[in-house]
Formats: sequence, structure tokens, C-alpha cells
Amino acid sequence: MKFYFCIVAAVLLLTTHFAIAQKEKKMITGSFEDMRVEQFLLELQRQTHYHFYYDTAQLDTIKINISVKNEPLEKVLEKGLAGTENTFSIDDNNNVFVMRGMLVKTALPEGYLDADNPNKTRSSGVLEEYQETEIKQKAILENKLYEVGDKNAPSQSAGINVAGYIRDAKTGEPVAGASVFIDKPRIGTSTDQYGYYSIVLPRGRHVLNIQSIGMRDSRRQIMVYSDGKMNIDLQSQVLALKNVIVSSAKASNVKSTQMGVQRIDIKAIKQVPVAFGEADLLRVVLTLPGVKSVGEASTGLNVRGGSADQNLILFNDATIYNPSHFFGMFSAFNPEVVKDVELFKGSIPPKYGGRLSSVLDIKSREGNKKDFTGSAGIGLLTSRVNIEGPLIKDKASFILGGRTTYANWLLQALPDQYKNSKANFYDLNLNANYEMNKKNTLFVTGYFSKDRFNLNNDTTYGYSNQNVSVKWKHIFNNKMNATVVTGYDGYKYNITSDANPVNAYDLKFDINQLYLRAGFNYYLNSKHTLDFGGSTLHYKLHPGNLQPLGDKAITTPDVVPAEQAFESALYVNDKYNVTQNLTIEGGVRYSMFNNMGPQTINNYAPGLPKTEDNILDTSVYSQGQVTKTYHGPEFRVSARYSITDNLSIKAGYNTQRQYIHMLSNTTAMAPTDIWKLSDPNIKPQFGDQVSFGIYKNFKSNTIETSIEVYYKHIKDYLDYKSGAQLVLNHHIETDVINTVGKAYGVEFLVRKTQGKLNGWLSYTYSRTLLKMDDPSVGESVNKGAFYPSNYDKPHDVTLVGNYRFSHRFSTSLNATYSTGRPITLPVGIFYYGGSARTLYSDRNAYRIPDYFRMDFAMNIEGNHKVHQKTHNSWTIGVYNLTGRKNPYSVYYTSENGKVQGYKLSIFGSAIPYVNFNIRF
Amino acid sequence: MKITIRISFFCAIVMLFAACKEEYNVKIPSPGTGYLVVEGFANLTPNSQSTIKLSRTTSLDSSYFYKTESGAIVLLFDDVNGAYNLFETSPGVYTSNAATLEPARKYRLRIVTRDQKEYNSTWVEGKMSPAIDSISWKQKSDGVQIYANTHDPQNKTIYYRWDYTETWQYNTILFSSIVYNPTTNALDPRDLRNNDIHTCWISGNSTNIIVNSTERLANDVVFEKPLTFLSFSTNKLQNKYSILVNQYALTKDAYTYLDLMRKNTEQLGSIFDAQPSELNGNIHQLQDSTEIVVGFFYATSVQQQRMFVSRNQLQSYVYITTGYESCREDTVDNVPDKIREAFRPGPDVVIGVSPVYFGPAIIAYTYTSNYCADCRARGGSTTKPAFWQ
Repeated sequence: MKFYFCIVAAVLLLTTHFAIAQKEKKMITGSFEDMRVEQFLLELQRQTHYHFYYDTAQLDTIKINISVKNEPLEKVLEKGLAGTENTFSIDDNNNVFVMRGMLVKTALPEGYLDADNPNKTRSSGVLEEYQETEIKQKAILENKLYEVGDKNAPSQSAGINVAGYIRDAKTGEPVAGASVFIDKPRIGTSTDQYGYYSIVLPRGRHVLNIQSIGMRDSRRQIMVYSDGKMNIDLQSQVLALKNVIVSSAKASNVKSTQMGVQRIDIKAIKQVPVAFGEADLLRVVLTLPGVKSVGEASTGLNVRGGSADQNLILFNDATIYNPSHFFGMFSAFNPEVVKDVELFKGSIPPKYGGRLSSVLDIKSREGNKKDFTGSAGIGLLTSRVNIEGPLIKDKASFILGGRTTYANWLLQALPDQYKNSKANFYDLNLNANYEMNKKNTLFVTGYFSKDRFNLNNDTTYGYSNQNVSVKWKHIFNNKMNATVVTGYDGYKYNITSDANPVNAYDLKFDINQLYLRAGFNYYLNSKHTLDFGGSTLHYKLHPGNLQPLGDKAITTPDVVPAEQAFESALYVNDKYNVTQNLTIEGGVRYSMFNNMGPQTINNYAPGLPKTEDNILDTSVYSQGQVTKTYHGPEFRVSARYSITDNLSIKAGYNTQRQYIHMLSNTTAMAPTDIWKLSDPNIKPQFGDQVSFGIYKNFKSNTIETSIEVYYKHIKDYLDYKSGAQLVLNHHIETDVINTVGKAYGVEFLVRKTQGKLNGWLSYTYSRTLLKMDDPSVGESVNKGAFYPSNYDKPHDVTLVGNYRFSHRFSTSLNATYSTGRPITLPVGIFYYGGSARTLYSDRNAYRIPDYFRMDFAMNIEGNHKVHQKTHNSWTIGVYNLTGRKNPYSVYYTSENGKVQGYKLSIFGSAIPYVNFNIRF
Repeated sequence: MKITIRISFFCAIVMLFAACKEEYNVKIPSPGTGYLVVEGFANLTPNSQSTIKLSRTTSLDSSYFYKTESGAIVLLFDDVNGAYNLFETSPGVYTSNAATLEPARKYRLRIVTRDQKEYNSTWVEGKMSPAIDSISWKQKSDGVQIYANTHDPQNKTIYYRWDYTETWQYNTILFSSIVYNPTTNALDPRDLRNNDIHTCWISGNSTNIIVNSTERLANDVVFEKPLTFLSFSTNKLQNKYSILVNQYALTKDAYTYLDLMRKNTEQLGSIFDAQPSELNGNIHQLQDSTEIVVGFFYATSVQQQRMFVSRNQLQSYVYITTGYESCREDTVDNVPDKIREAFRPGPDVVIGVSPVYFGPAIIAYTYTSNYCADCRARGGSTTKPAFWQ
């Protein structure tokens, strides 16, 4: 290889011509400005009678800017090459050898030179000077050559493993999802959520490139001898405006094996205009292809035809059951604390499980390890503040964020009928981490959110999420690390009504889960990366507890017995680089679900509809007894074939099982929806998906395009019967029906990640159809034929665009169009009870008018001086710029004896907003 | 699918949940026309008639109407004695002779329509409604809320239904003491004994389905079940208001059906309301049990109670919108030609109000529109109902 040849050549040259005495000194005067090294050397050659020997490939790319007056060649070269990686030596015959880095020096035993040239060593001069240079270059880390491993270690035949953390130089926080790669040969990896990477490289010298969103691209010169550590600090981009990138790394969409994975950085989230200016992560996720919702008052995501409960929403490992505030108008995640969001909608890694359609993995920041900082924001509806800082400098840090609302003024401004409405919410985040030593890091996170609202009646709704977790990350060695996390997730809601003292009640519902998960990453060699681990989760649900409220209430207490279960899984995944172009990722997750006693289970007559009349008898299970076990494998396979450097095709197959079900007969995800565990009468849901995609990047990966096609099949999804009673139902299996679903679609995405103009345009065509054809069910919706789901919106076009006018001023434009969602419209009119009334038949047979919305926002940053006490910024925008009254629903109601149709829009006009943010 | 959108509703400037509600009428195909609708029950009150109303569903467009089903044979069976015949007393209304039905028996309905289709209900149990404890009312800031209170000491009724007929008395804002005589072109004193058009009574029936369940309560007590709300922006409380409430007992199935019908047709539109769903009643066509039949047959006794609220019972001063706010009087000189001109027949009928005296002489008359002086213009009757007190 050329590289080795050069080393050998240089060594030969040095050893053979090592005397240095310079006979005549030609003085040089001149100014060398903005010169490449080669130009500089040629210029020197022209001015002197020396011959210069160098390999252009080894010359540094840094531009030289020096001016000299009457100085000898050595000094000029020293000055000129300071700050580059090049070194030089001059022999007696007026030959100048320009080389790269310390190759020469490190390759030679030092004693050899000393022995050979006892009195004078030019070479040691070179070495000393190099070392001086190295000190000078400390600021320019990229030019420094880092040695990894022990240079005297025997040469390893297999690759050498380099691992370490990528951190933000300013805050010490880990940089997740950064790509770390070398160009020749093309080897790359990306950091995990802790900023940890592990890469297998050939022995020798490499340029390690590091790229990440919001960070300056960086590289490191490394000399790899044997397995070792390499931590890298990245400079953040002071101007957050530049990058609005949704990919974890440039070109990663082409290179990764995963399909249907999208990452959004918080900076991108903050730029997308939203209603009332609340940076809203879920709203931005909704702009991605394949993600839909039933309407503006719902943050329930419908990913590739899945229902809202089929998404596993993880916030720092904690499962969030209700990700919304304010009856679904906002997402429950504080944008000041969130770092990034990753959505898996196609190939879901086997470490995740328990939900059918997607995983939304939300990561919060870890907190500044170096300084105390904070930020605060004031918006129309909420204020938020967060503080972060080191607990032990560079070792431990925390971040504490809080958000609360003062939205009541808004409700007061509404027409009289809403005057008595009240809404309050807050959320709190606390994350702390402690790097005990190089191998062990501990993380503690807590999340708490609470909502209370009352929409002008005497019923008050409240719900809250509570999550705590402790995580330990341990690095065994470069090749293997482990993460163990344990925690508690809680979700509860309650409904109280005290208007009528006799009927006053308090209804409670809660879900509690305790979990333990362990995961291992094993970087076996450059061909295989293994992930394996296991998890267990204990559920305890209190599916309804009704109690009288107040002294006069005669409400009968009614408690639906608690449900409990274990959900456990083991998984293994191998990422196998078959050839440089072909990578296969294959994994299997074996999940098992045990519904546990104490429980009383109704046994229904086989083959007959599950109705109260068909209950044969009941089985009573005591504490610790298993009432029913479901188990089975889930396969997660994907493959990528690179046709060229920027064109690849991928295919994947995924199966999923889900053991917990949300039951809802409302269109939007209501805070009062019931969750139910699988039991002997309720089967787990099963889904599988095949997908195929083509990915092509243009203009050095700054424009990404992709086409993904998928087909998905869902079995035993629970839908409700007509007139189902879901609250406080002791035998809910009689009110639900197993449904078969199919979803298919094609998603087109064009994304420009860089430049003044950036953003993405996506188009999705998709269908989601459900069918109830269970013969053992008495009645079935639409007589057993397929009907579209609530969120079946075939056409969907979304544009998210940003244009940066200057470093301080940028604008964003958001436009979205979709087919109207299906609704059930009346098929006729009848008179009953003194009024005309509507007759309903087939479910979801019609559609509301199409949806179109355009939003606009301007971001104005304060000045960019790095050293000032506070940095501030303004966001001014208009949501629903065209003021279009997009229908949320169309419905008919009987009023004063007549039937009247209405169209309800959540936002009936353009909504301007302003947001002020301050960082300190 | 032809879509016509008519916007006539307001949109608030600050939107949230008030959001934006507009009237919206879409011409959608209405395959659901012509289904049989059965409304009524077996009346278990001693010595009373049972009434069943038959109609057909119609298409959903602006011209919908109450399409009665005439010429059917309607039979009421009990499980011991056999049939009672119901006779068509007016189009689509079938009434039995007065009888005393035994509450302990089961009942079913059989209908044979003119097109020779036979419909049968399932056998239903009779339920006796307990007496109404009281019909009460409470004054709120913007109106009066009327409630029903009842209880069943035996804790057996549990499912209740109410409907009501309301009657209220109102006055025109202007009192007409004169009447135009077209033959003389003079205004004669009005015969206030027989032809007073100042005070009227008007009645209306409930239009909502009002059902209640005490399933979740320890005792079978209904306390302040809201029946209707009398807004001060209507004239129901201008003088005096009366409500006659009927109370029925339901079976659980009947309650579930009617409650679903209520949710389907009256309680839609807010974001968290349940979606409309299919209604499945207890009446089926003999040959094709999948044919949609709207309605649920049940057997109950009826309990009644009447209650009055008069304006002077209201606390503090309340302003009640009478609907006569824009009324004004005009004057016409007491000259026959001018009177004839003012009172000439035409689309805007006017009514004389009172004479204007100058000393003993009538120099002019005031007059106003028919609406402002004749209470019958608003649909009421000047005949005082027999029950009025």
C-alpha cells in the first residue's frame, strides 16, 4: 500500500542522508499569504536552490499565512509548517524532505539515531520541534496525531477496536447519534445515546471524521496500534440556525441498515411553527411521512396505520402513557430539556418491544458538566425554566426543567358557554448523571406531569404521569458494554363530579409498571456487532375505582379488580457486514406475557358470542397464580445493499406483539381512555410488516431522497362494539371485538439538510383498513366488511422549509395537506321522542373535507457574542396562516326537535404568537 | 356526492375549544330511508290506553318530514291472555282501548305493515314506575333549571325515563283595546271578554330523550335530574310557566338503547364524545332479522306531576327577553281616510292599540304591527287551559 511505502521511503531517506550541516544559508524574505502547503514549498524552491521532496497526498490542507524577513530556510519552514501536520528535514545536499506527522520519529528507535550521530542530530531537532509544535497546536486538535493503544503491541491480524465518548466541549454532555467514520477504507459507526462509540479499524494511521447535528464537523488524526480509548470533544455550532437536519448524520440514511427511522433534533423542533408558539415535539413528528393523527386536538400518533396506543413512547427509558397536555393540544415534553427524538416506524430494533407500530424514543439532555447555565421562555400559554450544571465538575451534572401554564385567561376570553372552564398543567424533569470512573456511569431521571381541566361543567378531569428510573452503564472493555436500567412508570387519571351532591363521585384509574432491562453491545469484529439482553416488566392496573364524593353522596363504591401481569423478553441482534456493500441486521425477540392472579376470569361458552348470557362459569385465581401465558418470537430483520456510495436499497421484515390495549370509543385519544391487559379472554395483538426502500443522496449528501413501501398486517386489534361501555366494566371482553387490520403505503421524502434553504418535503399514500369478521361475535361493524380506520387519510403532503437570511434572522414555513379523515355520517332521519333524529349505519363511510394548513415563523436571535450574561431570542409566527377552517369533525345533532349538521374546526382563524427565550 | 356548505355561524376570535362551529349541510346519499320506526310502550297504568306511533325513516336532506306509516295491523300480546288490538286513531298513531294490563306479565308487539311484512318485538317485562316525589326548580344566573326527583323504596326501578309537556302564559307588549272596523273605517272598542288578544298560552312537548340510571347508587334515588332549562332569553317565564312531567320505568336494555340513541343524536360534536354507532333495538322483521327497525318496545306505567313557576317567585330582579323589544307604536289621526290608509289590508297587518284623547275628544289612535299586539301571532292560544291556576 502506498501509505506504507511512503513510510519506508521516508525512513530510508532519513537514515541514509542524515547529516545536516548546512553550508550556505540563503536568507528568505517575503510574505506567504493564503497559500497551500504545496504552493508554499514551490515558492521556497523557487527562491532557494534547495530541492524539495514530498508526497502531495501527505501535505496538509491548512492554508499558510506567514511573512518573513531575512530568515533562514529552516526558520521559514518551521514557521510555515507550524499548525500543519507536516514536518521537514534538510540534508547536506540541499534536499528538503517534507513529511507527515511523526511517522518517521515514531518508527525509529530513538537510540538508533543517537548512536549513529552522537554529536549532532538534526533529526532530534526535528523531533523536539515537532513536540513544540504539538504544544502549539493544542488549540487545533484536529491536527494533532493521537496515538491509540500501545505501539509496541504485537500487530493484530483482525481489526483494532477504538472506542470512547463524543462529548460537547462546552457542556460536557454526550453527543448521541454522531457518526464516526474513516474514509479509506469506508468504516463507520455512530454513537449511542450516551455518546459512546466503538469502531474497528485497521492498524495504522487514519483520519477519524466526526459529524453530528448542531456540532461542527470535526476530525482526528489517529495512529492506531492496538485496542484503545479515544474521547473526543466537539465544538457546538454557536449558531444554531445553520443545521436543521433530521438525520442523525449526513449520508446515514443511505448507509444505515435500518428503515423507517427518523431522528429529529430539538433545534429542528424549535424551528417548526406550531400553535401558540409552544415548541412541540409530537407536532413535528407528525410532519414526518407515515405519521398521522385524527386531528388538531389530538397528539395521538398513528404511525403507518397503527392506532395511538400502538406506539411505545419512551422518555429516557420511561414509558409515557399520555404524552399530552391540555386535552391533547400540546405534547407533555418540555422542549428545553429534550435533546432529540427518534421515531422507529419500520425496522424496530429488537431491544424495543411491547407495541405494534412504532417506538418514539425521546432523549433528554444530561446537563452541563462544566458550568451552571439555564434558560427560560415566556409564551402565550406557558412559561418554562430550566437550570443545569455540574454536581462534580466534569463528572456529574444535573438538569432540572419545569413548565407551567396560565392558560385560564384564554378560556376566560371565550364565549360565555366556556366561561367556567379551567385548565392547568405542569411538568417537571430532573436528570442527573455521574461518571463514577471511566467504566461506570450512573443516570437518574425523573419525570412528573399533571393536568387538570374542567370544560364548563361540573366534572373535573385530572391525569398525571410519574416516572423514575436509575440506569447504570458499564464498559467491560472496548468491545463490550452494558446498560442496566430499572424504574417505575405510573399513569393515572381521575374524574370527579360534585354538581349533584347525591350523585357526586370520584372515579380513579391507574397503571403502574416496574421494570428491569439489561442490554449488552458487543462489537465482535468489523463484520459483526451483537446486541443482546433481556427485560422484565411488572404491570399493575387499577382499571376503575368509583367512590362517593362528599357526605351526601350515595354513589355505590365500585372497584374493578386490579390486573397484574409480567411481560418479559430476551433478544439478540447481529449486525453483519457481509461485504462492504451488503449489511444484514437480523434479530429476534422472544417475548412472554403472564397474566397473574388474584383474578376472577369469566369462562364463555366456546363458539358463542362473548356476552353476559354466555358466561358458563368463572375461574378464580389466587395471588401468584398464572391465569394465562402468551409467548412467541418477534423477528426483526433488515438488509441494506449499497449500489453506489450514495445509492442503496433496503428491505426489512418485522413482527411485533402487544399485550396491553387501549380501549377508546372517542375519535381523539382522550385522557380517560381505558387500558386493558391481555387475559384469557383478550388475546394479544400481533402485527407484522414488510418494507422496502430506495435511498439516494445528491450533492455530496446534502440532498437526501427516499422511497419506502410497506405492507402491514394487524391481528387481534381491539375495537369496541356499538354502544360499548368501557368505563367500570367488569367484563370488558363482552364489549370489544377482535379486529383484523391491514395497512399499506408508499412514502416519498426529499430533504435538504444544509444551506440557507433547508427542510423537507414528503408525500405519503397510505391506507388503513379494519375488519371485524370474528364469527363468534354477535354483531359486527359494517357486516364484517373492511372499513377505513379513523385515521385513514390516503394522501398526505407536508413541506417543512427554513430559510436563513442571516445568522440572526431566519424564517420557517410549514405547509401540510391531507385527505379528510373518515367519519360516520347519518344515512337517514327518523322521529322519536319528539324530535327528528339521525340514523347511523356503516362506520366511517364518509370523509370530512380535506385538510390544508400553512404556518409561518420568524426566529430572531440576539447578538451572537459568546461571552455575555444572557442570550435571548424571539420567535414570532402565525399558525394557520391562511385562516382556513379545517374541519376536525362533521356531526349532526338534534336541537329543538330538528336535525342540524355542524362542522367543527379547532382553529378557525390564523393564530399569531410570540415567544421570548432567554439563556443564562 | 354534492357538497353545499352554508356558513351562518360565528367564529370566535380566540379559538380553543370554542373553536369554530359552523352549520354544515351536505347532501349525502341516504340509503337509510324507508325503515320502520316504532315508538311507544305498553301502558301498565290501570285503565289506560297504549299508543304506538309508526313512521318511516326519510332521507337526510332539507326536505325531511315525518312520514307516518298508515294501514298497519298492530297487536299487543301478553304472555297469558293473548292480544289487544290497537286501532289507527290518526295517521300512524295506533291506540288500544282502555285496559288494565297486568304488570307481572310479559308483553310483545306485533306489527304487520301494509306491504305484508311482519315485525315482532321480543318479550319484555312490565315495570311499574314509582310516584314522582317532586318536580323542583332552581334559579340560576341565566335561567331556571327544572328537575325531577323520585325514588323507589324497593330499589327495583333503577332505569327511568321522563318526558314532559310545558305550557306558559305570555303577554304582548302592547295592549290592544280597539279594533278596526273596515266597514266604517273607525276603530271600535275591543270586546275584552271574548276577543282579548293580549294574553296567550302556548304548549310544547319535550324534544330530548331524558333517561337516568341509579345503577351506581346505593339506593334507588333520583335527586335533581335535570329536565329542562328555561332561559331568561326566552319568554317562558314572562308570566307563569307550567310543566307536566311523565315518568316511566325502563328495563336495562331499553335504557341502554335509549341512552345510546340520545348519545348518537343529541350529544355529539365535542372532541371527547363517543362516535355515533349503530342502534340495535328489540323489534325485528320476521323474514329478515337484519333489517333495521328503529325503536325499542317496553312496558311501563306512567306517573305524572304538574308544577308551576311564576315570575314573581324569582328572586331579585331578572330581565326576561320577551321578544317584543323592537315593538313600537305609530299614530294615525282620527280621520277615516287616514285610518283606512293605515289599516288597509296587506302583508303587514296592523292592529289598533289605543285612542289618544285631547280632552274628551279622540284626536288620534295608536297602532302597531300584528306581532306586537296579537299574542296569537306567536303560535299561542287565547284560550286558558283547564288546568291553569
